[in-house]
Order: sequence, then structure tokens, then C-alpha cells
Amino acid sequence: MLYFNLISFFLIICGALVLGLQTPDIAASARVYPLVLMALVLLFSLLIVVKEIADRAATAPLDSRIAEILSAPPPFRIRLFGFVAIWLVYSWLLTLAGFIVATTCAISLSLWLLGIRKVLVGIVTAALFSMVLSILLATVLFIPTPLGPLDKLLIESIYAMQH
Amino acid sequence: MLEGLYAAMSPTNLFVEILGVLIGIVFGAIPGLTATLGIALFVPVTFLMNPGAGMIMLAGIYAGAIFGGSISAILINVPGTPASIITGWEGYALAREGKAPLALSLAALSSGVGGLFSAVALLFLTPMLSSLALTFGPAEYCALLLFSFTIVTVVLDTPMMRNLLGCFVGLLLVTIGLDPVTGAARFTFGNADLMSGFNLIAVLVGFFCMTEAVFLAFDSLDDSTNNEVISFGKGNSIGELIKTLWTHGITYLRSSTIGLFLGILPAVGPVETPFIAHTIERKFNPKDEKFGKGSITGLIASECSISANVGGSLMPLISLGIPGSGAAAVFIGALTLHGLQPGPLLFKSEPVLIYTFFWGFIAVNLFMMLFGMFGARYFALVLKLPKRVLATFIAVFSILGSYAINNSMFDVGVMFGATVLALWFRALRIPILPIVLAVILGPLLEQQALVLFTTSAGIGEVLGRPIADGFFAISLIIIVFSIVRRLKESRAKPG
Amino acid sequence: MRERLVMAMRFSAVVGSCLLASALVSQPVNAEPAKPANYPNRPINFLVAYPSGGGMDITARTLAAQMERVTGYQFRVENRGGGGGIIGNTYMATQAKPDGYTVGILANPTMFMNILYQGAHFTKEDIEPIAGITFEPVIWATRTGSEFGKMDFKQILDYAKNNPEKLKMGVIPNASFDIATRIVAKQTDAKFTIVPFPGGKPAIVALLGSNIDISAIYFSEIAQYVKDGSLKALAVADNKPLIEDPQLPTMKALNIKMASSTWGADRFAAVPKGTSKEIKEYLSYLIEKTLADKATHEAFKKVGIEIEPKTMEEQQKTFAESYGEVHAYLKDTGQLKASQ
Repeated sequence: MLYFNLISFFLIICGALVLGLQTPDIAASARVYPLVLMALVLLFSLLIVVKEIADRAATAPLDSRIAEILSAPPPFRIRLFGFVAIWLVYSWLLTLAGFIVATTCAISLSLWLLGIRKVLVGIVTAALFSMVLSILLATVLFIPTPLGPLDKLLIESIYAMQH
Repeated sequence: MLEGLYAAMSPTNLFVEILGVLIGIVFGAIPGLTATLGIALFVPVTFLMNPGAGMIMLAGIYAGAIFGGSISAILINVPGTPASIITGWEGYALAREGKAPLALSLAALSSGVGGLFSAVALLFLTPMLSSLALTFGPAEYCALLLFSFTIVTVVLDTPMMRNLLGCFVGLLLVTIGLDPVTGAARFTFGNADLMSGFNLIAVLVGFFCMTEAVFLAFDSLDDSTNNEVISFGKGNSIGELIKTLWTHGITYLRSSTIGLFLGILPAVGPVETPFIAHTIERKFNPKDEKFGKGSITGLIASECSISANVGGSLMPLISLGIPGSGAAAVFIGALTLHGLQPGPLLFKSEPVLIYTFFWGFIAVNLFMMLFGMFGARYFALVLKLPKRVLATFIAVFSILGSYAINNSMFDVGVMFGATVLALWFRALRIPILPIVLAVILGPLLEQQALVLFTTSAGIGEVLGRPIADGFFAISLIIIVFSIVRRLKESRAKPG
Repeated sequence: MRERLVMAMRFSAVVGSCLLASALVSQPVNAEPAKPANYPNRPINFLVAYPSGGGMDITARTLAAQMERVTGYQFRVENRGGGGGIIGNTYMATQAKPDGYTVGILANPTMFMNILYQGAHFTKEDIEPIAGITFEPVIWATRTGSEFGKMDFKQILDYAKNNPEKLKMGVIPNASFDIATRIVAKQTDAKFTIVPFPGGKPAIVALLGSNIDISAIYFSEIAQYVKDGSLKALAVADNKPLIEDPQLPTMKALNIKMASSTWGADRFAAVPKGTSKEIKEYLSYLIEKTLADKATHEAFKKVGIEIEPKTMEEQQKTFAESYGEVHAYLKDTGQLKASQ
């Protein structure tokens, strides 16, 4: 795990340097504070790197939860990756397909991927949840959601009913 | 004052008190939905009521949400609001030992005690204590912030260098955005979204909620293990709870006072308060081995201080018109929309209304305490849900919660980024806590340091301020002690 | 009554073009433009580029409530805060659909500063003002109990000239507060120590707590402290008297050259470029009708805002003039973003 640590601290150093490259654009008075922080980040990253290399034998193992995930059988890791991917795609789909459709799809898929036995129940729950939540958001909480065709229809019919 | 008491006990007001607390608890318990958002969303609803009832309802949501956040923190290790992060440490550890009912009702009791403590102070001491808010200048803030960073980096058992690195990385991350001197873009790579910096709530939801959803999802994959998060454990007697009032009386008192004091300060809200109260309490209980891993004292300290902070933040709000936290700022907006300008004149022009509100705030805290203590078993129904369902819905709410802060997809991206950072740093064994504190307090530190350097004539002027000196001195003592302790420890185990 | 007639005439002047007979224009009739077909068939959102609780949010929420009362349609407030307004303004200019369901309740010169100074990725043409709501100029205030509480603005400026950098002045960086203060300083040779604050409230706390001597601020934010005697207003950064306190010296009275109705908060309603003319005129009419209503004035007064309605044409004129002033100031001081 030494290499993982070294690469990680190298990346942190790079991150600080990339920010450092932008400092000439900043007004002098607003530059001092971040520059001091950058120097401190560099200093401590280097110190830790030196220490890690020095007591190479004593390098502690990875965090136990993370190690558990990394040592899990491949199908588990693929499904976990799938879970994360669903929610990343969901955020992107939300603006395209609208709230109701995207949320229903994402919840159903996620439940299926994590191994729910009654898939149909999952889909119905997901659809009901998205509908109820979207009505609640539109009529009580007034949180605007990304509107797809279905959402627009729902909101317009609520509006027509109120008038 | 009595007139206010009668008004607060009217059926309508009793109804809004209960309603507000219930809405708040539900809102707070859902990850990603914070107290601030809850108040902001229910402001239009209060227009249907008279100003007194409206204010009480919002206060109920505020107090309820702060407690509600602890429910999900204790039961599933997902803090419902950022204020419950510390409660989550202690409470979830207790819950894993099968003491979930104790942790939940104890959280409710200490939350209630802290809330009532601050409510009584609010009722009798507001004009006197609110002036504290003005005695805190840049020197005092800088000293207080230095003190907070010192205790957090020193107290954690992880290697000091990693604690400090985490702290500085966090501070550096929050310099991205508009710089506080000229208002120009800084470190934004020309990206307009980055000009607002990383939203604090989105970052914290990523650190604590989405990260936990990933872990829960992973655990749910293995069908062979028990798919319930934790078993709830047996109930406990109320008597046992009440007993803590004697056995831990000093903890209740100390944490409530700290919470109240930090609440009065305009720049310190419920999110940062438990960090400070918890670490101070740890210093007073050096023998408590379980601190941070399921300590009853730690849980009381955290919950007491948060709730006392809520009441504290209402003091300068009512009497000076200065908000003590983000939620309080929305509160001011709500009052203004009701045609009431919080500030020095409000006390004189609307005394009945103010006292109705103060008594209402006491009632709100009582209801919250009762709901929490007797409702614990119903909250625990959450635990009956399989992990795969929990993981899915925590993910949904983390995304929707981050989106709802500013109606912005960029904040959702920030939330995902924070999740990656949290997992990465966890693998590197860099503790998340110093980063969290740095992200929360960073902007305030830079702002106050800036004001300090532009306005003060020199080091002598700073040292002439006793409150600042006090904090500097305590920080120094803590640093010296911890160096001595670490040296001793390293000598004790050679090699 | 007379006021109403005048307002009605203003409406007709604006919407006259969409009426068939030009003869109607001169008469104070109810000049309601044709209601666009199928509009609105869902709630209309007021977009605010600031988080809830602040001055802009209160303006938008009060307007929304009054619009519902007067028009019977539904209005919602949508907050997209962050980056000193830049996030919400950029969204309004580049992402909001021009379908009449997103109306920005915006503020200048903040938006112009986003474009000209901070380098936001849109231009002033992406936004079309449809009505003016209010203009609130920057003022300067000091603590009544301090040594400056006994001086008038002229004496304070002389003090700052003779004692360079002794006077601590609180401002919000590169907003109207900061710029108006620098314009005054440049013309009078006064030298302040400028202390930046992230908002009005922190500046008030510092002023009340004696950490600064003077603050550039809005009158509405300090009205209650003026009333209870702890703070004192000194001067207004505009050339016409402040409605709330007409005694306050104006820049003209102090012989300081400053653009009129520029340095403050010009709050107005706008739609994204490309919104149909029909909808624009209808919305503009609805807002003007609401703002002309007496009860609306009362409702705004209750939340501490004095409204000064402007028609679409008047607001577009102000918009263009104020843009020119901001551009000129930034160019003179060498702070203009390279691409502008």
C-alpha cells in the first residue's frame, strides 16, 4: 500500500501546485492567505511522504472498511460500482427526462441491483414514491424540480384543478 | 410576560408547536434536508397564521430538525443535519452495542435539557446576554477559531501530521470562490459555478450521507449476513434516563452553557458547536475511555450544546436583529416578511408577541423532549428496512437534498466529489474531522483574520483584549500538554 | 386617485403598441394587453440570485404575494444563490427557458459587475428588463456615540483627509458600497482604511461593536438602529434625496460628482432573451398593475422597502445608462475584465 500512499500524496501536492499556478491572477491582498496554506499543505505532504518511506516496514494497513471493499469478490465489486454509476447517471438524467421518470428508474434499478427479491414491488414503490414526492414538492414545499414532459403534465393538471 | 404565557398556551399555538416540532423531526431525520432548508421552505406556510404562531412554528421546525438529525445519525450512522455529526459517533457506537433505545432517548433528553436551558435564558436574560455578540471583534474570533482548530487536531488519536494536513487541505479548498478582499474570482479556472465556492451543505452530505450509502450498499450485497442494520435492543426505563441528570449533571450544565454562549456569537452556529463542546467535555473527563466511541457523556455534551445553541442564536436575533447562524438568518427574513423587523425596537413595540414566542419556544422544547423520549421505538421502525432499501433512499435524498440548496446540479457534483474525497482520505487514514471543521470555519477564519490585519494597530492591541488572550492561553496549554503526553507515550512503547 | 390615473396612462403608453387603435393611447383606459393563449397554465417562478432571507428574497416574496392577490395567478420564489449573485444571474441569462415561467427579480449594478468585473459568461443582451421595482442607494452611517457621531459628512471627509487611513470604513468589496466610497475618496482626497465584509449584517455588527468607524450600507438595513438612536445616517450616494430621510445630504449637495441612480441596488424584473413579445408585455402589465396598487405599497412598506415602479421602457433606459456608468468606472480604474 506504500505506492498507493505515495501516489496519493503526490496527487495532493499536484493539487496544491495547480492552485498555486493561478495565484498571479489574484490581487496581492487576497493572495497571502491561500499561499500560506499551500505552503503548509506541501510541507506536511512531503513530511508524511518522507516518514512513510523511512519506516517502510511499519506502514499501517488500509482502513478496514475500504480494505473490505477492495478484497470483496469481483461480482460484488461490479455491483457496487453499478450502484454508484446509477446515481451518477441519475443526476445527469434528471435534467433530461424530468424528475418523475428519472427517479422511478433510478430507484427501481438500484433496488434490483442490490438484490431485492420482489422486483415488481420495487418498481411500484419507486413510481409511487416519485409521484407522491413530486406532488408534495409542487404543492406544499414549492421546490422546483427539473421538468420533463410527465412532470409538466402533472403540474399543469394540479394548476388546472386549483383554478 | 404572563400575558405571553397565556397566549403560548392557546389551543392554536399548542397545535402549531406540536406541528412544527413534528415537521422538524421528519425533515431533520432525512439526510440532505437541513434545518435551514426546512425553515426556508415553510416560511410561505406561516403566512396563513398570525405572526406569533408563525414564529413559534418556525422555531419548532428549527428545534425539531436539529433533534431529528440525530435520529438518523444514531440509528443508521447518517447525520440528518450537519449538526448531528458528533452525535452520530457516540450514538451509533452505542446503538451497535444494542443500546439504540438508550442513545435515542438520551439524545432527546439532553437535547431537551439544552433547549430548555437556552429557552429560560432567552426568557430572562436576552437583553443582557445579547450584547455579548458585539463584544466579539476580529481578535476574539481569531482566537476562538485557533482554539477550535487546536483542540480538534490535538485531541484525535491519529498521527498529528495527518490531522494537520487534513486541516490545511480543508482550509485551502474553501479559498476557492470569490476572494473576500476584492470580490474577484479566485482559483476558479474561469468556471462560473466555482465562483460560489463549494457549498458547505453539499460537501457535508457527500462526506457523511452519500459515503454511508455506498457502505450500506456494499453490506447489502452479501445475503449471507444479517441484512438488518443493527438490532434495536431492549427498551430502558425512563428512571435510568432521569438518573443521568444527577450522575452527569455537570456535563449537562457545562455543555448547555457552552452551546448557549456559542449560539449568541453571530458567526458560530449549531454545526460547529458540538465539535467544541464535545472536545471540551473530553478534556474534563480524561478517564472516559469510550469518548468518541459510544460515550454517554459525549452524547450528552453534543446534544445539549446543539440545542442550547439554537436558543442562544435567537437572542441576538430578537434583540439586535443579528442572526447567530444560517438558519437564524432565514428566520430574520421570515420575521421581516411578517412585517416584524427583528432588532432593538421589536422588544419595545411588540412585547406580548416576543414573550408569546419565548414561552412558545419553551413549549416547543418540552414537546421535542417528550416526542423523542417516548417515540424512540417508532423511529426505530427505520431499522426494519433492509440495508438495500436504506442505501437506495439515502442516495436519492443525498442527491435531492444537495440539489435543493440552490436548485443547482453543480452542488450535486460537489456532493459526489466530496464523497470521493472522503473515501480516498479514509483509505489514506487522514481523519475527516479536521477537514470538516476547516471547511465549516475556513471562510470565517480568513474573513476575521483579514479584518484583524486591516484594522488593528499591532500585536499590542490584540493582546490588550482579555477574551482573546484567554483563548490563546488555553490553546497554548493544550498544545504543550499534548506534546508532553505524546512524548511520554512514545517513550512508554520503545521502537 | 390622480396617481392612479397617471399610472394608468403609463400602462397605456407601454402597451399601446399592441392595441389596434393608437387613438386609445391618449385615454386613461384599462389598457390591458391581450392575454397570451394558454398562459399561464402553471405557477410562474420568480428567480432570485441570493439565498432566502436577504433583501432580494424579501422583495421577490413580497412581490409574489401581491401578484397573487392582484392577478389571481400563482407565483413562486426560486432561490439560486452563490458567488454574489453570479450563479443565479448566469442561470437566468444562459439556462432559463424563455417561456415566461421564469422571471428574474434581479439587481444592478451587481449583475453588471458579474459581467464586467468578474467575467461571467453572458452579456447584458441576454437579459431583458420588463419592469422596475425599486432603487435603493448606498448610504454611509456611523455610531451615534462615537467621535464621528458628532460630525457631519463634510467634517468626516476633512478628518479623513487630514488623518490619512485612520478612519476605518466597512464596505462589501467591489459592490456599490465599495465603489461609491472610492469615488467619494478620490474626489475629496479623503483616505480611509477600507475593511471588507461579506455582507451588510456583519458590517453592522462590526459598526455597533466599534470595530469600524463608518460603514457603507443600505438605509433599510439600519433603519431600526437609526430609530433607536444607536446609529446615524450621514449621506446618500445619489443625487436626489432619500425617500426615507429627505434631510440626508445628497452627493449633489456635497459637490461630489456621482452618477444618478447607479450605485445602490436597482431591483427589477426581467425575462431571458427570446421570450415572446406577447408574454413580455403581458407580464410587464401584470407587474405594473400590482405595483401601482395602493395595498402593494403598504405591503412593501411593512417589510421596509419603498417601491419606485418603472415601466418596461423606463427600466430599459435605466438599464442601459447604468451599464454605461459601470463600464466607464471600471475602465477608468483599469479593472475592466479584458474581454469586455
